[in-house]
Amino acid sequence: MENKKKRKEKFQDIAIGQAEYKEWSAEKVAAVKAAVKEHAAKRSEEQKLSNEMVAIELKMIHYVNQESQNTRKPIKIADFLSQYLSVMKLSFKRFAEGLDTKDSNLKKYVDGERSFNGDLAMKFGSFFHTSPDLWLKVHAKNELLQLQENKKDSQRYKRYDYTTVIEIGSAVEANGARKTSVQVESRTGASKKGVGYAKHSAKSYKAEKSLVLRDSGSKVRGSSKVAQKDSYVPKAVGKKQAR
Amino acid sequence: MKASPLKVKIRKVDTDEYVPATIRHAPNNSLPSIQDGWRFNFNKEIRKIKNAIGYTLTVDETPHITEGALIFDLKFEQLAFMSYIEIAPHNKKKPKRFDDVAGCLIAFAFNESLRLCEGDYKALLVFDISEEKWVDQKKLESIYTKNYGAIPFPMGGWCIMDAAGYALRERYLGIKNNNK
Repeated sequence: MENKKKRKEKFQDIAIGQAEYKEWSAEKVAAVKAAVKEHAAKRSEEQKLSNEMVAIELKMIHYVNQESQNTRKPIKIADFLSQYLSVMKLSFKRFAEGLDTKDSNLKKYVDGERSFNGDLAMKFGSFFHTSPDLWLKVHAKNELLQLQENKKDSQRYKRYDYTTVIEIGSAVEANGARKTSVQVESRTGASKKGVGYAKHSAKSYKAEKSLVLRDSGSKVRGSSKVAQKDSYVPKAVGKKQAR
Repeated sequence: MKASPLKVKIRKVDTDEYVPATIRHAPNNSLPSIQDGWRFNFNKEIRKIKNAIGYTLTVDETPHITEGALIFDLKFEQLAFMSYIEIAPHNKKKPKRFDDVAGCLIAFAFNESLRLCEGDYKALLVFDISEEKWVDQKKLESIYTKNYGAIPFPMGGWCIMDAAGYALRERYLGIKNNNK
């Protein structure tokens, strides 16, 4: 009998909700607020501090995990640090002393005058009981946001593309087996020529793309063309010209 | 306000192994309904609740199958509240596919109380238990008390707070409290 009861309890539905949602009455709101206050008053100072610190850590994690396009405003390391110090009622100077460093020196890293680094991340992580990489992630995210914000800078990065540098092709050996080779070429010429070269390489990459993808032995598109292609001839590799 | 996706692990009952799953925000129209065999119309009820957010738990291998659903909101913009929570029909009766779905969702909701709420309202998750039959009411209260550490709150309310909530976080989300 007891086993049957236990089995029933095991599969009991935990569903919570109202068949038709109704807002709380003003009376209930007041009663719950009073209960919250009563329970909160029983919390130790250590518990309250723990809750606040966990909350800040969660905000940092949420910030780091948010996609860049959904991030309205960067939240700096200084902002999170300020929240921690506020809940701890700790001065910046005392905090710096706790890290065996001068506050004037530490301020430069926190304000972004000097780049936040792994050593500081380890110290911050240890001090606030968080993972050190969380601090580095905040720093990295803000750095990227800053670069992306500047349109001129973000346009500049678009020209860097592996398809402008490598040429992927394949050749057919005597026994019919397919051989792939990858050749790395250095980019020659000024930026205008570089653009033209990029287009050419992109075309040749696209034309031979199917070959690379189908090299496992399945049917190859344009296989007759492949059979006719010569073995790969290395192109002359030029030196990079000064811009 | 909505949380970023959270990776969790739930137990696959037939193999007794833990599989990766994700709790993520679900648009209103993708939430389950009575027509899908669920008890509540999540997709309709959420529209009645101000600032409510729907979340679903899915196994990473089968992201199109909802294993559990939750509607979370902030009562009077301060109090973390679980308006609706339910596990999928195929996880309720024998042979159920996955275990720990409810625990993960409740722990997630408690986690949100830490992130979103201020002051006294931090680390405090409230919900109502209101079943038509007294027997069902008592059974549900017992489950939440024994399995999730809930305590009674005024006027039919229940609350998971502080140590009980942190224990759920550790057990179901794998997050240890380093600030004890």
